[in-house]
Amino acid sequence: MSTPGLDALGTALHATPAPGLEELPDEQLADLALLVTTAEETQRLELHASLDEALGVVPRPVRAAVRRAVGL
Amino acid sequence: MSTTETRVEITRLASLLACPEESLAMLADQPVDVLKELRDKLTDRLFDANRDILVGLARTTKIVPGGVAAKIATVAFPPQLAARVAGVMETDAAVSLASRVPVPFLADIAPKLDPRRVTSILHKLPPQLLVDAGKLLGERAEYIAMADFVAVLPLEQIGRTLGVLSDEALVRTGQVIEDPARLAAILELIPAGRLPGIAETVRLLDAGDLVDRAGPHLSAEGRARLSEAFGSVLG
Repeated sequence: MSTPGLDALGTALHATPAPGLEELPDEQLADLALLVTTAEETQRLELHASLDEALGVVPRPVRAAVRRAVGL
Repeated sequence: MSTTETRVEITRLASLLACPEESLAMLADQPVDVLKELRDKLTDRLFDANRDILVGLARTTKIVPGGVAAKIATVAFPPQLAARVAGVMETDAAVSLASRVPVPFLADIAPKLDPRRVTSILHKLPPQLLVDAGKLLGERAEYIAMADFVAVLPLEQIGRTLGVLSDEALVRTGQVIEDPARLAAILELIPAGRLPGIAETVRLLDAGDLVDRAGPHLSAEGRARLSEAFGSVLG
């Protein structure tokens, strides 16, 4: 059975939610989906901030190679 | 359904999501298998995100000699970035890097490592390095990371590390060990002289569920030895 909350959780996880979770009320599934999305977004922002910080202190001779390697 | 097992899973999910456990109150009545599957999918989601960037960074560690890579990682990579990069490196390269960075930096990285990669990396790290890092993790109250590590380390190595951990660190780590049989095996490693202190800490922290979980998995000999210290808790 598909519901907006279950769909949101599936989208956030990039996977089908575990069977059993569909029994949760839709608003709780939506809350869970939001927690997953927030964690992923926070992690993504932290990663990019870390990357900026790292590139700032990587020795200059190596910096270009690092930029190329990570696709920047 | 086991309420205690569910509590352990919710603690672990909250740690992954970096949210208070109360935010996951809606999961309190879910079977533990459902929660474990949710945690597995969440782990895949969070640790596979941005993989291209991480693989690129891991590639850069091959550009320079190991010692230089370790120096750069320590100076330039914040712990969460170093941990994510280590998670996509080949095991031997990750072990080489981990063995060259200062222990406090390794302890910074350890709680943020991809739990799916922990086993292969830990098994190749020098025993004394694991003891030193374990001591720091205990002092920093990184109990979930420690529980993940003791889940996969040989019991001999765990035995070496017990001596540098406080009673509180042992009890709080035990509370979040996923496998009750592993918890029982570790309880049986605790030297007799420390059992009264551990039992008192269990009482003070109201952590009797730890003993309840381990109970069915204790050997007859272990049960007899632990019964003296834990008394009525073990029954």
